[in-house]
Amino acid sequence: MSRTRLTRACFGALAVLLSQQLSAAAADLVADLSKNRVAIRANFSGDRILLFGAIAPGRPDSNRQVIATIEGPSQNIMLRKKARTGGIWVNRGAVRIDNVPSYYAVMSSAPLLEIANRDTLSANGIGARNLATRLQEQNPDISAAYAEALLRLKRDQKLYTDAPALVDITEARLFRTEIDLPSGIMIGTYNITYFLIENGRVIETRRGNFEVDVVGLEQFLYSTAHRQPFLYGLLGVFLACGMGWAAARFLGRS
Amino acid sequence: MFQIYLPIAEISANIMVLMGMGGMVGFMSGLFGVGGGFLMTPLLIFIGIPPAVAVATEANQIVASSVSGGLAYFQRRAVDIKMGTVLMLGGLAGSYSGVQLFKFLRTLGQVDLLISVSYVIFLTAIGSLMLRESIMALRAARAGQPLVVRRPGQHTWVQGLPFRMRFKQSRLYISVIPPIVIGFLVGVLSAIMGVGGGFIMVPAMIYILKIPTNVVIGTSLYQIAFVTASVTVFHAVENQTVDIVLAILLMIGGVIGAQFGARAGQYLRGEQLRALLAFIVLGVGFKLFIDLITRPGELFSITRLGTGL
Repeated sequence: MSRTRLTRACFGALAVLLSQQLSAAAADLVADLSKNRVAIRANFSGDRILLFGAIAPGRPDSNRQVIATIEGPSQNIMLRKKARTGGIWVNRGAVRIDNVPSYYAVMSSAPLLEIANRDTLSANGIGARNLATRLQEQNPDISAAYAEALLRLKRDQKLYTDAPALVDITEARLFRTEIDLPSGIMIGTYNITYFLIENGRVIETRRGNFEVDVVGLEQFLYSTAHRQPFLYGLLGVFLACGMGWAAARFLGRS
Repeated sequence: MFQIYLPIAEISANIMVLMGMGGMVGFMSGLFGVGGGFLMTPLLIFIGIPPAVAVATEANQIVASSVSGGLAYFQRRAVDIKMGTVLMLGGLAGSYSGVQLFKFLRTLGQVDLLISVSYVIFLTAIGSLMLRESIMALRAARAGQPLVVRRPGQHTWVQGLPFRMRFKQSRLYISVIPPIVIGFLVGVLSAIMGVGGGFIMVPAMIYILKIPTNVVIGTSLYQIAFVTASVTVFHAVENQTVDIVLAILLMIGGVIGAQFGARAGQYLRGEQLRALLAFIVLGVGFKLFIDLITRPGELFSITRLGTGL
């Protein structure tokens, strides 16, 4: 869909949402997504999702801002550190960390510390730093160096976005932002949390989600590799033999 | 777009880059008559494929190239099937053991180390031997005398071992122990390094087993095809690290490149090619050694539990 059509569709959806919501118990923030399913196909190299919604404007002097966080499916990881042993660099230290979000992103309509203070952000678990703190609380044997390394590695893989992307708020009512998902994302449910912030206080939170899964041939290969590995291995060998035979037959010198 | 998603490596890569790599290494394999796995696996790791996936997937690719090469020799009756089968039985035991060792080290998080150290040791050792042999061959060629390989039939300690069998095509009556042991060693390396092992097996067959040179390469390819097939299946079952999509792209580039390489190889003299290959083998080994002893830019790494990638 072109941008104008998409925006118009959003406005249309908003009008419906708003009219429904205003008649129900007043929610000051409503939100939706351009797609709630990311299908990984053979040519997948990342995807872009538009997050949008509406906020009730509030009193004239209130400064309303929006923060959205996205957390990907949890994974259990081993974090290892290399050290010099016998002249070569070898993995020595290892820490197991459970329930690490595979993906984490923060988007806000203004720099985080301009919207709310550290305590508020920390209380709501907003920001990669607070994510690290939460992980350290759950797993006491993670030192600061390891937590720092975890954030850094995830950022390098573009799986944790650090600098909050801009959430555009139009006329203090419509908000929109785009999130770029890298190609290395994990399969599963991604949870979005929207925070409506007024004068530094969180006055409302809403939740949303989207799914990432593999489809088509890639899905068949992935699931066969994990559920029927012997057949998968035989398939690989069979294809290789076929390729080898074909090469000898058609490309070989007689 | 030329991006393709690799479902087991769980990253996306450029189709042209992968086929080009397959083609380049295939070209070299056609040129020098080696498998090319010892180049491809480090290259795959270098472009960001997880090492465990690189090793297992490369083994899958080598099945294709060794079947392709082996068929050509088979049609000319240049394969000693009996000897190849004995080598292969050793190889199956070796590949199974190698994959188990690999799996164990993955749980310790030391599989990258295993791969790197194996490569450094073997590439340096084999590369040095090849360099020495090719220098001797070059000198002999310059002096006008071709290098004489020890003919089969000469007696060494190998001849004294028990459990003898007759190998008609190789004109040998020797113990099965040496071929089983050699096959076993090559099988272990194949599982750990993602190579065919021809660069160890061919010299071992010529100098230790005294197999006639006209059946050496065909028999070696016969063994490699079966052993790398077993490595592929074992890795798929034990570690789930074979990426068929990646393997197919490499195979396509590889078989095409090998044809061009084989044709180009006719324009260079054997001794020159062997010296050149020796330099390349030593170069890759040296580079990996340097990587082991230099402080890496990033000391930390993440491994996912469950898939272990």
